[in-house]
Amino acid sequence: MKRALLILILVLVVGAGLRFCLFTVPAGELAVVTQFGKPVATITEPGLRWKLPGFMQRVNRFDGRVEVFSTRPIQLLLGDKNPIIMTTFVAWRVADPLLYFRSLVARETARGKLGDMVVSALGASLAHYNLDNVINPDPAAVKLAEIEAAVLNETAGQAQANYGIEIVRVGLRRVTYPAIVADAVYNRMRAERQKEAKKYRAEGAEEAAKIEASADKEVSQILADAYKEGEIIKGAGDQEATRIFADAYSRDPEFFDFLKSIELYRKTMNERTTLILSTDSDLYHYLDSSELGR
Amino acid sequence: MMSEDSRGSTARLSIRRTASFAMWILAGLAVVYLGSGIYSIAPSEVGVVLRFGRIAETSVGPGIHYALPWPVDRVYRVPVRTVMRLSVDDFHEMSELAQVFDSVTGLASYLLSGDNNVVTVSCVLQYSILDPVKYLFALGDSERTLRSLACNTLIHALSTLPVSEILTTSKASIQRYVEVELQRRLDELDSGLVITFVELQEVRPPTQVQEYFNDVINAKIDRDKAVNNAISYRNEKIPQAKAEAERLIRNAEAYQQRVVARAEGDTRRFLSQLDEYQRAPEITRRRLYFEFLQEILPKLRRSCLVGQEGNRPLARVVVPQPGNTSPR
Repeated sequence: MKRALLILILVLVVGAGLRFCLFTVPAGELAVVTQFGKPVATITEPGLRWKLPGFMQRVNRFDGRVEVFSTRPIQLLLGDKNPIIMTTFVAWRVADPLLYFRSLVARETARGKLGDMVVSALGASLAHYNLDNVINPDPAAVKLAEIEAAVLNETAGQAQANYGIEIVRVGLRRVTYPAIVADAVYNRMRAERQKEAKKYRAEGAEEAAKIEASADKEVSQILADAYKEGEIIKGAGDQEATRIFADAYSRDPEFFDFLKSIELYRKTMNERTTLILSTDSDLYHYLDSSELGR
Repeated sequence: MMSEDSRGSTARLSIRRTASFAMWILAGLAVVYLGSGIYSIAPSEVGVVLRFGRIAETSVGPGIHYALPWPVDRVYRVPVRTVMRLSVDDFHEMSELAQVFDSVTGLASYLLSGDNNVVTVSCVLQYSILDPVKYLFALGDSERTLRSLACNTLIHALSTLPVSEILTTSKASIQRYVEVELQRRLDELDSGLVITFVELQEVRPPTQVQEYFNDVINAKIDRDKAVNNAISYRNEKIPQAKAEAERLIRNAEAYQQRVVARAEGDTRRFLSQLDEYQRAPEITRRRLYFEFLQEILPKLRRSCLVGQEGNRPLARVVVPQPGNTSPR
């Protein structure tokens, strides 16, 4: 019975001892062990560790994962004196916990320092580039990646050496214009669109006029061709008719004249016509001699 | 002595009872403690187990499992089969993010196109966790990182494109570019994330200039309308002209047939008459002459005769003389 109690007490004592002397550093974390405030060990590998009990050695833990934060927007000047407002993101992690612990400790401070470094490096790099290198329909002229790489190069060594921080990546998060420039851009956009709209309408009118004119031309061509063909056909008809008439009438032109004359008078005489017959004429001749005279 | 003895034995007995009761409690606590190591993983998850902080298991499948209880093992559940969604509306003028950004900085939210135009854009990402270990231990705030990288990729994507393409034809290619480039950036940071879908939800010019862009669209419509009107004019006029041409030609053909037929008819009649005439020329001539007079005289109001003595016989001109029609 006493043995059981003894074991229990032993377990509790050992547990307490372990509680104060053992600690774990999980994956994704880094730690610096300090003895009365003085760093004595740096832990970068996860696992179970020993230390002296609480009051003698303390464990300072740091997030070893990559963190991303954004800098405040800041107005910068490009090489061609164009003002532009940029925001960047910075991806960083604690690479050397000891140096980081000695120089910064608080993440908020680290962000502030890194942000200042990145922004000033960005300002310096932008002086070598023009607006054409920030935005350009020609992909070869756009140097955003180059600018980002330059800022990273500029700041990475410094952050590593001074703060034990690895800057993994720096990139643009926002690119905007100051309000006045933005207004000018809006005005230019309006003007460009108006021009474009006008161009389309003019194109439409031109194209329509072309189509209509060519249609009119085609119409008159068709009609003229048809007229020509029609006249040819009529001419052929007339020719044939003339030939037929000539063939027939030439067999006795005199009789033809006679018939035609009769026909002509028949058609041209009406009630207003006054017929004057000579006594010489055949009609009178018969009236005179055969009926009145006899 | 006896009573003391018996009292002592009773006390010893009660101590023993208490002790055994305590043992039972302890045993019970031990069982509960050891039992706390039982855990389950849902079908959509994967379990990652750390033993004293070190990675011990990286892909525990769904089901009931056992891990050593605290403080030895620690279990993380990672929803690897869940598709997550992130709306990147940092560049959309109406979004909440944009309003916050505006209230803090006084700046509007938009993207710049390659030809220096302003575009308002919202983009939706779908992503899931590919590598639970990287997801847990390499990158802090995945969503914030993803948003930052997506914004960066969009800036890069639009910086080389003219606004007309961004608004019309390039949507799919921008989405492709963002998917590929964003994945590359995520991999660089060991995010353990995989982008499964990128969609540009809204891409349009900002409100201040919207109507001018709309007018360009209207102008295109106007242009097409003018051209279409002209085409329908042509489609109307040309068949009309063809019909007219057809009519002209048919008329001409009708004329041809008519004159030829008439010529044939006339001549046939003439030839028949000529036949008869040749049999008895004088009689026929007279008959025709009288038939003519018979027909014409009743229609006339006046007719007069002129004697051969006085005047020159005018009738020679007016009335054909059967015998003297041709000069002899």
